[in-house]
Amino acid sequence: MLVWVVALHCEAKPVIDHYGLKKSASHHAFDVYQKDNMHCIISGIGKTAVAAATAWIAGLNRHQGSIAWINLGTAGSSAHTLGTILSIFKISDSESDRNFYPVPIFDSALEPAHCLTLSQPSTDYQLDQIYDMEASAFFDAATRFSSAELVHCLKIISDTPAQKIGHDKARISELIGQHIVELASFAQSLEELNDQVARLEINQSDWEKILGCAHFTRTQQSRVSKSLRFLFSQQRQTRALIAEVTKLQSAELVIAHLENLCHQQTQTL
Amino acid sequence: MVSCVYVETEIRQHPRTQRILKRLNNTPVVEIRHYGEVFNPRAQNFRLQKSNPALIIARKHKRQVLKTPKSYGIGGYHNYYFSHMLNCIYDCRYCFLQGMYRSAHQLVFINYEDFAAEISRVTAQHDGEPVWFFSGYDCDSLANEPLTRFVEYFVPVFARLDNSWMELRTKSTQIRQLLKLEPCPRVITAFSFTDQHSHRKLEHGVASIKKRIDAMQALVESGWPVGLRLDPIIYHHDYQAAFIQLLEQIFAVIEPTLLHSVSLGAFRLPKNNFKQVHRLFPDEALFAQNLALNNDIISYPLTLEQEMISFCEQQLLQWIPAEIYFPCNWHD
Repeated sequence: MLVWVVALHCEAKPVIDHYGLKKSASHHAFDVYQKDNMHCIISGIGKTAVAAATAWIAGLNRHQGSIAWINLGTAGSSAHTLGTILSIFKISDSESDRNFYPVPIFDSALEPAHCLTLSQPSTDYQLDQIYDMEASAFFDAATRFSSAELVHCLKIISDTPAQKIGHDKARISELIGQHIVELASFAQSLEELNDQVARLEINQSDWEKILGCAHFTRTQQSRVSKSLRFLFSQQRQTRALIAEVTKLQSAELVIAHLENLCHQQTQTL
Repeated sequence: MVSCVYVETEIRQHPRTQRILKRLNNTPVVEIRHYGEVFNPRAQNFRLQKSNPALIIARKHKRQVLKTPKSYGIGGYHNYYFSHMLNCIYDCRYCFLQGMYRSAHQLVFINYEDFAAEISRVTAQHDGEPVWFFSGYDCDSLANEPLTRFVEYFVPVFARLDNSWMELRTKSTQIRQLLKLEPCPRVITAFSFTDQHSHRKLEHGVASIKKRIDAMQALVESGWPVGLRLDPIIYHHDYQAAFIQLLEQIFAVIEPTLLHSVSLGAFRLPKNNFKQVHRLFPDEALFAQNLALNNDIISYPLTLEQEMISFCEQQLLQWIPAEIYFPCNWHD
C-alpha cells in the first residue's frame, strides 16, 4: 500500500481529487482519505504532528506486507522559482543536526534537492537548500516501518524571497495540482517497487491457517515461513498447498513435507 | 550507470573524486559527512537498492589492510586483503557480499596512497618473505576500472615491492588497463567461473563465459600471469556434465601449463550472511536447496559436498598439474 503524508488539507487536495480518495469516517486522531490500497493522512504542521501521524497510520496498517510512503508538501527556497517540484535526496534536521538520505531508487525526472527541516518558520534561506517543517521527522518515523527505498519526500516551492503564498490555500492547491501527472507517475513507480517487497510476504490469513494446524516453536515457524515463501514464489497454487499442509498432524510433518517440496523444486535450480 | 553520487565533503576536491564526478557528470551529487551516514543505516533493503545502486566516494581512515580468513589463499603463508571498494557491480546470487552490508551502493575509497603506504608497511614486516594481498575480497577488482583506475595505480605499487604479490579477482572483461601496462609477474589476475547453467541462473550482469575466457587469453598472450577460480561449484541435477563442459571450454583456449594457480570450492556462506541473504531472496532456488550447517558455515550436506568436490577435482586434475591446484578447504 501507498501512504501520502501531508501537513495541510490544501496540500493534499490535488492528490485526493486525482485518485478519488474518500474521507474515512472511522478515524478520528487524524483525517484520513483512502481508496483501495492508498491512504492520504493529514498530519498538521510540524515535526511532532508528522511523526505522530506517520506512526499512527503505520500501526493502523501493521498487517500490510509492506508500506510505501510519500511526504508531499510545500517548501521555501531562494534558488528555485515558485511552483518548482523537487525530489528530496538529503534531509537535514536543524535541531538535531542529523542527516537523512531517501534512496533515489527509480529513475525520476524530478530535480533533486537538499531539504533543511526547521522547527520554526524562517525566511533566512541559503542557496543550496530548501526549507520545510516536516521532512526529517517524517523520514525518521517512516523508516521505522519501511526501508528507506520506500520512503520519499516531494516538495513544491511555495515561498521565495520574492513571493510568499504560504497562507493562500487555493494557490497552494493550484501549485501542487499543476504537478499531479508527475506526482502520479512517481507514486506509480513507488507502488511497483513496494509490490516487489509485498509479493514476497505470506498473506496473514494463509499464515494463520498453517499455524493453526499444529503447534510450532519459533524456530519451526521460521522454517515453515522460509519454505512457504519459496514455494509461493514458484507459482504453486497457494490454496492447494495450504490444503495439503493443513491435513498433516504435526509440526515436524508439515516442515518435512514443505522442505521436501522445496528440494524437489530446486533440483534444476 | 548509478542513480546518484554521494561524496564525503572532506574529499570533494580530491583529484580522484573530481575525475570520477566528471565522468558521471549528469548524475546528481549529494555531499555527506561520512560514508556511514548512507551505507550503514538499518532501514535499507539491499535487494531493492541493488536494482539501481548509487556510488559513494569516501576516504578510508584506518584498517586499510587486513588479514584474510584462515582458509583464504593460494599457497602463501602471509595473506592479507585490502578493499578499495565495497560491493560489486554484478549481482551474483551466491555471493557473500549480498549479506555482508546493509547497503547495495558501491562504495569507493579514493585515498589509494594510504592503502599503498599500508601495503608497503605490512610487506616490510615480513623480512623478504612472500606476502599475498588479495584485492577482490569485497568487490570485483577490475569491473569498475574505467571509474576507479585501481589497476593503473596499484600495479606499479606492487611492481616496486619485491616480495609482495597481488591477486586481482574478477568476473569482468575490463583488462584494457592491464594490457597497457608492463606485465608484472607478481600480479595475478584470477578469473572466476561457474558452469553455464549456474552462470545463466545466478550471475546477473556478468559477462559470458566465452568473453571472460577471451579476456583471460588476451592477458596470457601479453605475458600476464592468470589464475582460474572454479568457485563456487553449485549443485544442480546436471552439474557434472556442466562442469566437464566448462573445463573443455576453458582449456580449448587457455594452455593449462600457463596458469599460475587454480582453486575450487563448493557453494558456502557464513551462517549470518546466509540468514540475511535468504531473508532478502526467499524466492531464490539456491537457498531452498538441501543445505546444512557445519562449523557456522551453510553449505551442502557433507556427503554431497564431498561427492561434488571429489568429482570436480578428478576432472580438473586431468587438465592441470597438481602443483598449481589449491582447494578451498573451509572445513580446516
